[in-house]
Amino acid sequence: MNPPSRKGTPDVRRLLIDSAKHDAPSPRALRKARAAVLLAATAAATSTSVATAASTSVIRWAVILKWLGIGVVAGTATIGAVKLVSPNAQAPAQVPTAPTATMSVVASPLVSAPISNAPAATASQTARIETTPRSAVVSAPVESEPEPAPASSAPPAASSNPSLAEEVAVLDEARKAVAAGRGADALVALDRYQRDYPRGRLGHEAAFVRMQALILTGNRAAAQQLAEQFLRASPSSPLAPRVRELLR
Amino acid sequence: MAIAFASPLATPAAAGCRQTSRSDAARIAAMFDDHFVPVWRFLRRLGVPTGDVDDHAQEVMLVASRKLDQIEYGKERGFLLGVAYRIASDARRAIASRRETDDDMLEEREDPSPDPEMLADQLHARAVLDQLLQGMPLDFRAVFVLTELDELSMAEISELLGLPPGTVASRLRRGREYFDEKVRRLQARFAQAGGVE
Repeated sequence: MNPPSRKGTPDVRRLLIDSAKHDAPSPRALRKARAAVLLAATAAATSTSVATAASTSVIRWAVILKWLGIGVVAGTATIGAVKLVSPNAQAPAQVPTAPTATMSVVASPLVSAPISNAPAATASQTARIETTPRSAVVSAPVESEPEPAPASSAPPAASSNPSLAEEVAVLDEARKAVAAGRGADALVALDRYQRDYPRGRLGHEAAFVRMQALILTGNRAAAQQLAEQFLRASPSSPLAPRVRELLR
Repeated sequence: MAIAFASPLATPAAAGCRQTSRSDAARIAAMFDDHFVPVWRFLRRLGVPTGDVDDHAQEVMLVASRKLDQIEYGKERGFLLGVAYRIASDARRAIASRRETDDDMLEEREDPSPDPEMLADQLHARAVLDQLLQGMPLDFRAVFVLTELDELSMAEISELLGLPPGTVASRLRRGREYFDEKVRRLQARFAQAGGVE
């Protein structure tokens, strides 16, 4: 690519030009950038679906459910799928047996698919909630839970449990920061979440977002450590496969 | 150079935006694997400081991810390099503003006095190359780099930068003149120092 007009300089010219063709980022920088870009892309997709869902109060409730992924454990350790009536339903098709001492919740991605259909919910439509194995759930005092299926009352939107709505808001902030590739900002939001809600009901989801944020900031070792703790504590959490993949 | 990535889209969690998003994620991953290094290299040669190149290259990919639906299949490279050009342009302006100087002044502070044998060392050769490119106006530089280093055709560059082919040709000619003059000076310096011509 050296025309004759540049005769007399081709060797040095070629050396200089060719040197640039082998220039490349460090493997570490490459790995970090790839993780950041892909995390941001996928987080943006899920954030978008959350933002859309939050446009109405009924849907806001669906958002909260999405975050919570409520697993109902009724009395015994019987595990199976149950149906919860949509908050704005006129008549419940099935109402889960009320929990006794505690109600177990887990941040479960398994519920997001049906709940994302909430905008089209009708009176007869039910939201399918998948139960989670007892060992995978995090117990929380029943009195702090939102009422999941008040058949005839107004929708138990975020306002019925402002602290829960706030938890969702803080975590959404963290997720949006991850989506934008701002890992440090996400960590700030997550620290706030941890400080303000030390017994928060979205602990699993917060931990997962923290792992993403740590990777974004290049702190893969800390993400790995957190993931291992997570998997030790909740090996059968619905989030566990995603946690394993994250750090594979 | 793939690393494991946990895609929430691969789980039922995102079932609402499922098919499209999953294919988008795959496309973004492929785009990254195919084009990140060339984008990084382009930014580097456009004069983005070493310490900022990683971040700016990542920014290019993030912009592309957000505008994925605007990128035609098969035109990813052009889109990415176009974004990189704009980001490099902004970065250079910010640097110039911060230092209250211009490219010529930057160049004057530098002392490209390599030993010819040192050019065999690619790291050193790249440092010299960057010094020689430093004073070249960005418009010429982008066309020069895309032609000489990335080996794009003038038609491709014309489309990528949104310039008429005549303008691309003119910028390339002036960029080559600038660069070759610098190389000649460098060789003269070698000769003066008793080096090899």
